[in-house]
Amino acid sequence: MRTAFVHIGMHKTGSSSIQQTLAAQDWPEHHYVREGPPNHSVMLRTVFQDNLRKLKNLEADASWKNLPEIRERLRKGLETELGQVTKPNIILSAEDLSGRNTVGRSGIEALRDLLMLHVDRIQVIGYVRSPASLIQSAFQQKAKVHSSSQNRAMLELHKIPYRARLEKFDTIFGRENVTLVKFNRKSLIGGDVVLDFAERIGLPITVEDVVQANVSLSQEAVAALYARNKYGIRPLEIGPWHRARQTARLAVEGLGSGTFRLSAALLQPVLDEMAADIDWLEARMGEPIRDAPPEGADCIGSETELLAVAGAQQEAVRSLFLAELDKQPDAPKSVAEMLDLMQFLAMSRRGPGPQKRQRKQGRTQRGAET
Amino acid sequence: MRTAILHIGMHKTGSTSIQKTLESREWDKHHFVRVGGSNHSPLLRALFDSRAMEGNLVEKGHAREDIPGLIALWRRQLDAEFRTLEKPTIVLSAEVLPELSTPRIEAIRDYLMARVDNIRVVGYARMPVGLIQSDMQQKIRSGHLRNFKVPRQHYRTQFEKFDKIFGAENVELIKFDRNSLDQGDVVTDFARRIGLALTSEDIIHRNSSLSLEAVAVLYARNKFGVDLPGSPVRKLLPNRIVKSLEALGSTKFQLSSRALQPALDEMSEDIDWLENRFGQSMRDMQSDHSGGISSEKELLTVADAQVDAVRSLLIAELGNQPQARSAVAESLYQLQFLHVQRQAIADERKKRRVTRAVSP
Repeated sequence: MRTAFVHIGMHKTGSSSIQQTLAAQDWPEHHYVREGPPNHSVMLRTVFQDNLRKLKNLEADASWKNLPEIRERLRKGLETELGQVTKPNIILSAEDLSGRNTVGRSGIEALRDLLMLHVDRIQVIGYVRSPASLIQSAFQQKAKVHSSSQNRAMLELHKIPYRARLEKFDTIFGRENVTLVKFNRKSLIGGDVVLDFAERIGLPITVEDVVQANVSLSQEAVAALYARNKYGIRPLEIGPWHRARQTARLAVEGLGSGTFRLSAALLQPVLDEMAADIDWLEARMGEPIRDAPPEGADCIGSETELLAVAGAQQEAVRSLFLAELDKQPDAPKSVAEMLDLMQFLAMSRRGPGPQKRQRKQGRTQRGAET
Repeated sequence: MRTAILHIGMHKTGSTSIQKTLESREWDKHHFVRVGGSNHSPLLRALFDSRAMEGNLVEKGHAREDIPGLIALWRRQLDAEFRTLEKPTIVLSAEVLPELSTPRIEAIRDYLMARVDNIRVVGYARMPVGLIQSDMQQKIRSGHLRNFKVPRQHYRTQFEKFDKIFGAENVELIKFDRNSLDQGDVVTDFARRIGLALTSEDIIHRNSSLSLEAVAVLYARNKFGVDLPGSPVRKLLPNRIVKSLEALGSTKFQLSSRALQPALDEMSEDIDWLENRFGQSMRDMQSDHSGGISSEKELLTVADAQVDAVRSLLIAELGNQPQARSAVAESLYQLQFLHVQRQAIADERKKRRVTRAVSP
């Protein structure tokens, strides 16, 4: 009997580690889908999201102008790959499936229908983080990947709609085929989500096989990235800038060692708003999922406090930048880089240029026309 | 009788000093046009060659859709200045004029002749070696020169049309040379020629020449810097930053005879025409001292030696941010920008490799 395992995240439950571990080698009885990068989110939403405009909004990159072509190529690639698999288990992993509806309900149904052409059954596995922990982790993630900037960052916490994100899987795949697992070190097999997932899909792996990815950042690092999002100005096209955001994230990984925690005063109003949703989740999972908001003097209670942490990192962050600058071994190229940087700095301080304003106006006009 | 004086530069002959001095106050018998800044190049280009000017105005920060309105406003303002003019002389100064085509200059003449009784054109011509060096410096500064190509000059194309359009008797071309200028100063010389009484306190000097060290680092930037989509990088560095490059050194930027001679040879006929028009020798001496730059390699060697100094300037620039939190944001954005730069260069290299592989 052939099985497809669909790992649906959720976000912030070690999905990157699962994906990179599974993609790192070939397994005797399990085939990890190779179409696209190890995280199948982009590939699946490109193939199965039927609203192309939604995809264009997601990926404002020049290469996405040929979206229908790319979509067709990915679809064919996926279908061919599924058709050629001889192993008894196929694995797909895409945390976007349980994310903000980027694949869409009809997209998930289409995925199911495609998989059922190649397998006998589908098992959906998702990890669910407790609400207070998830909200903090989501805030941290937003600080990491934020790329729009222009003083838009605000210390706002958003509720996570568990039911809207998870219930559809029961309906589409049948509740008996959907396993939701509490993301908690104490209850995970081996205290690790990768080991836990492997065990659930019958994949024999060792601790040495596990690749840790997208690890949590310290309080200082989150604060620095938040300051970047709050005060940085990006006078560039989104494409190259979008790709460069990882650079800053990787650089700040070495900053500080404090644990990023938001105060109960900040978290409680959101948790209160989510009460009915959490009740649904507990009923679905058959166990308590509520966690207590953290307490202590080091918890961040406001934007001012977060920015004060960032401000204290001024010298450390500058050192990170200068260390990167000094990696250029060629003297004239180094001079060129530094003058470009000085101009970039001058432009940043002056604010967005007329071209940017024009692009924005153009977008507004196009929006009004449609 | 009303006269319009048209100062036509040329480039690199102290035009900014003339403009800043005339703009600095009101004069009894001379009116210096007040529309669109002290250098009337953008104004005249916008009014009489608007298509060519559009991109330029966008680069200077005007939104594209605002440009027709801006040009209409400038036209109304210029019309009004002529309408209300009570002084006998009106002065316009635009070193861009020699670059404009004959029909554009004719349109300017017609516009002026509808409002004044006569037009006098005054222009200064720099001698070839000085002009080539100054032009090369300017092209490096503006980011346009990425290869060590000594720029040729075209005197005849630039000047001859004025004789035809305004009549040679109304066109005064003067050798830009300290020995021939009144008191060795172009502002004093120009003022005397147009009958404007200046004191030494009135004169404002703007020296825009750069040191060899500054030229070298700017050249390195043109050569190895990046063009990014939507980025400002290839545009002019802000004056403040260029000014800060003055701290790098004070060696005069000069090209060697070896670098200059091929250009001078090519320009030979043009220089003959110039000498004939001026009725005097217009050939200047080439530098033979050891510091004259002969090649790109030599210029980049000068840039090499400036790495630490430029690094200090960058750090000082970063240090100008008083807010710690904004400084953190800026450092992280600098880091990202550095990545974008290096990635763009790697992409470009990859593209070139692919192109070579496809069509060897």
